[in-house]
Amino acid sequence: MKDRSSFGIKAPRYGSCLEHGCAHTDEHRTWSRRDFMTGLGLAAGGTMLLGGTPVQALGRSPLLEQLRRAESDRILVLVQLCGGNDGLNTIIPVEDDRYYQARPRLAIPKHLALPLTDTLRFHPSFEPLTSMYGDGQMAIVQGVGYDAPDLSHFRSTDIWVSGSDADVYWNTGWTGRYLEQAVPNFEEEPPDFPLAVQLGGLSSMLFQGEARNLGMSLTNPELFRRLARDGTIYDTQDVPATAYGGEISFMRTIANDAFRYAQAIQEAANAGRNDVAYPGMYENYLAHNMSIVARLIKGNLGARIYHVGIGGFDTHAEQGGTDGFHATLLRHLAQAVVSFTEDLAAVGMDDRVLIMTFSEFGRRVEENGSDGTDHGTAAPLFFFGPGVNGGLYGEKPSLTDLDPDENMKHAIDFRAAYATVLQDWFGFSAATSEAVLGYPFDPIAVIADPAEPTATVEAAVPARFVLEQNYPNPFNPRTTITFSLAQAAPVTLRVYDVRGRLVRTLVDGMQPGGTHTVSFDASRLPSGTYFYRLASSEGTQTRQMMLVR
Amino acid sequence: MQRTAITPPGFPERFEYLRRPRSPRPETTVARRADLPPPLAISAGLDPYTEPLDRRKAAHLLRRVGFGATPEDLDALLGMPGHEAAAMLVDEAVALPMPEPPEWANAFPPPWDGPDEVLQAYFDQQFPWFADHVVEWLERMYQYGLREKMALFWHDHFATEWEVYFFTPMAFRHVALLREEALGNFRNLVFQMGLDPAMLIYLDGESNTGFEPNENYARELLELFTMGQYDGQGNPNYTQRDIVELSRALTGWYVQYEDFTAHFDHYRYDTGVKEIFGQHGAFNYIDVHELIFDQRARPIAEFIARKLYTEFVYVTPDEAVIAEMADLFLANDFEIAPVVKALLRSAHFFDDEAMGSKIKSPVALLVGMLKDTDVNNFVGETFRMIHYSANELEQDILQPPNVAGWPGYRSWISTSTLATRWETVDYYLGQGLVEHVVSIAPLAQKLLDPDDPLAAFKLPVLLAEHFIAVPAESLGYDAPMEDFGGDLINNPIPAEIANGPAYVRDLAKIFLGGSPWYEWDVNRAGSWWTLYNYLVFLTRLPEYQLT
Repeated sequence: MKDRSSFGIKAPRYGSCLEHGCAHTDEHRTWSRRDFMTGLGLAAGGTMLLGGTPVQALGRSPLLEQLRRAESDRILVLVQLCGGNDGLNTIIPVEDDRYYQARPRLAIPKHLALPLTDTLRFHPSFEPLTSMYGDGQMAIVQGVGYDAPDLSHFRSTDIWVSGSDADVYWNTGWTGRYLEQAVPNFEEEPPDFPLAVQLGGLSSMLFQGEARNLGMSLTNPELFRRLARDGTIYDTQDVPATAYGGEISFMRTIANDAFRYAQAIQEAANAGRNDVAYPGMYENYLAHNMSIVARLIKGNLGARIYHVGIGGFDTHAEQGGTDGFHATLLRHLAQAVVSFTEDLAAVGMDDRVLIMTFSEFGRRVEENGSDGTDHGTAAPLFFFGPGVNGGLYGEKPSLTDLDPDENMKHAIDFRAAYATVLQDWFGFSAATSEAVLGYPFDPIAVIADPAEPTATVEAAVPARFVLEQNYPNPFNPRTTITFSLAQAAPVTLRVYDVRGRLVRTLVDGMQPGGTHTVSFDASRLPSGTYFYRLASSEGTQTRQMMLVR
Repeated sequence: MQRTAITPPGFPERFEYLRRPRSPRPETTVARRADLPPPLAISAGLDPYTEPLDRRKAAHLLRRVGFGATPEDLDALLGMPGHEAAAMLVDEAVALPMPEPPEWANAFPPPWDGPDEVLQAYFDQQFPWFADHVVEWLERMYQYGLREKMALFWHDHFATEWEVYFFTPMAFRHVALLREEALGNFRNLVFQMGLDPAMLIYLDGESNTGFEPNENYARELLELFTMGQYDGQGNPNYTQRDIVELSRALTGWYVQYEDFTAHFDHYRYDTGVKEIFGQHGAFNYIDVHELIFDQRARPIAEFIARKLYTEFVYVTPDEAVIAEMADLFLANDFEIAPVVKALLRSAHFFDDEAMGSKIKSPVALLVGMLKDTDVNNFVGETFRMIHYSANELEQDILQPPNVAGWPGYRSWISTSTLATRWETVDYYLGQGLVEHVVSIAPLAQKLLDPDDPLAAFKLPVLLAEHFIAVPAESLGYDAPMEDFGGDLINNPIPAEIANGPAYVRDLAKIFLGGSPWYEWDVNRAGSWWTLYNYLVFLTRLPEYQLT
């Protein structure tokens, strides 16, 4: 374009003609915002988003580094036995005549089962696990279930992963809520690695928090292979030679760049390696997925929770006894756990990792007419690892005192197992555990070396110093902000706009310990994103809210 | 010598802060034609597409013509010959009555020499009026499709920024003109646009006088609004002298702030003889509009045809189709509807090659998401949030970046905006679920008989094809390797699924998340979680960004 001034014409307004280019006010806004965020001790770069999640790669903060690298970090591996594991044929009540009466074709004969206690024996497929049990690295919790059991796979799985009561519908997972508590600064300092990783096509509600899903899913080993090799999620080459192909290739290229965990996965996959030979992918898929988990853990990915699964436990037909489907599944589980534990032990990382199994329900006491078992209730749950206080916990459910559906009654609520993980493994306080699970549950004593509540990263931000997300959000024009203090402290709570200008001071002065709720009226403010920042001697937290009018 | 547009004569100095000079903006590159991919490999031209519409073609039509499709919209078109369905949609859009003006449409400024508080109160009103106006427009886009899409198209074409002219009743007049002539007559639209108060202010028409000519509007009238710098053969359409002379002919018009109308002031008008396109005369505003359309009819017809083609078909125009469209445009004396209709009903438009080849604009993404999820139970704030989200995604309605409008196409997508798109759609799906605004179960029930024994396999495919423009078998994702969950001995995968294409099983596995196929029941309490989760999967696929 020609220089218009050469024609003696007034300079047009900026932005009102083509030469001035586009979207520079936006550029400007981004930069101011970024400067502001740095000033508040927030992420050093990236883009703030609706709901407050920066998704770009962000500068690493000391807290996140600590989270990622701390030697003391404890990791949980959840192994889901999909379909409803038959607990009675896993831990066999060999002295209970009722068992043999109820299962004339499926019962495991006493002489073929492996010794456990005077009255209980292992299914022969658990042979690889007997030495772990002998070493005190395997805990069995009997009779786990919940009140008013639901026998739908969908629903019961939802109950187990959400941790809700049977008559309540939650849309968050218990581990998602745990991670939100464990990493209260997620909004401001989203890590550049996934906090939780799922392998395979499992329900993703498990990692769903109130605000977002805190995990990522590696649905398929090919995806893992591609991430490890190229750091990419999507294939940009294998596209049709059409106009659509050109655009989807472009879109996938940007999507690969936008996926902020890719680099972390790639780095961890390349830094970690397997030190034992696992069964092949097609021979034992669970073991294969656990080999990937081991590699990521050894590569210091930083994820706190891994979720793997093994399907096929819905053994309505041809379940088999010492041989057959169920025997194969249990053998796969045993092999996978043993290989995985040995793999981690080879580099001394096994004591940082706890394995817990779960299944949506157990199975009926009576076998059915097609050599199988139907949906039941109470079932055993297993913990594995050097951190476990090995042994048998809970009572064997009665095979005669049954519920109206002829199912066993549980003695231990499944959320007691979760409370065990939250408190004794991850070192949460009982109060935080209660906040995650909705009720207080006493931990089961399966953790050999319960974490001190101060031993984890939680200490960096005291559990009671909490700045909560405002409600409602987005809001117009009023919203409430809740914060909690462990003790009386001088506190400021201030609201800033996106350019970092102070818009309102809501609290400034000594506040007693406990929970406080403050109302914020934005009647005279324009729509947009605002930050609110709580500062006290206990620390500083910042959150984001959105005014929409 | 910057001058703010909102300064009417006698503008009081005490409102000086309202003069908002802008920060200097660095240069950016607007995509050149050389950057564009080759045109679509389609041999068909504007000959009508007479095939009966299947789901995919019907969805293609509805997404391109409007912003998306509810199951009812789709059902209404199934089996209709494509050209008839397209013609029907265009006819409906043409016949759509204009909406009632907002109650503030004629709220004009109080006297400038009045009390500060009165003026201040009036200025303060502009902001909520503006937000309301955009929100109402978004609602109409959702409700009416093509007519409002065309209005948005012309807004992008005749771009103005509310921040510059500031008075929201002017925004109303501007949008009303875009909407009135959206499928009307282009010659008429251009004529009226030059006298639109917002435009007179935005491109300095009102400061273009015989004493002090300002060629800003004259240049953009030729370069951006009608013919472009070069014709189809690469010859310049005008010279710099044409622009200077044209700006002289356009002098005399100003905005009367008392009622936001354009008035002609002979004193400001340059009465002299002008030489434009080699023609001499004492041309005035009316004369030059006739002159432009007479002297450069073909370049104008082609220029607008290219832009329409880019809007509805693909970023790179097919010159053979452009020639056909231009012929039609000329034969109909620049009536817009016949050209749009001919394009939308054509075999070219319906060709497979065109499907999934367009990148969704933020408004297309957001309004389309509401449409596709079959939302009809809005909370009051839904469109306010859409307004905000579109801004976050860099399409701030009535506030385009500059007079060239939004650069569009691939400039919509960066790592930042793509991630924001994901998060935004997740947010609406999740928030909608929480507030029971987006209820996915009814959508699923409309797409498929809930009692269909194969629902667990059919529904994932139907949802994929409902949300995504390309065939479900072409989606790029990593399928789980595990077998289906549940008891497959008593409930084996039905033969037609087991022996059918793999993508049906793969999508079903992702949909079911390990739960047994035979237990799937959309009417079960809590089924929304499965549906929500699957929609998040679908809407995060890169394919979802295309249409």
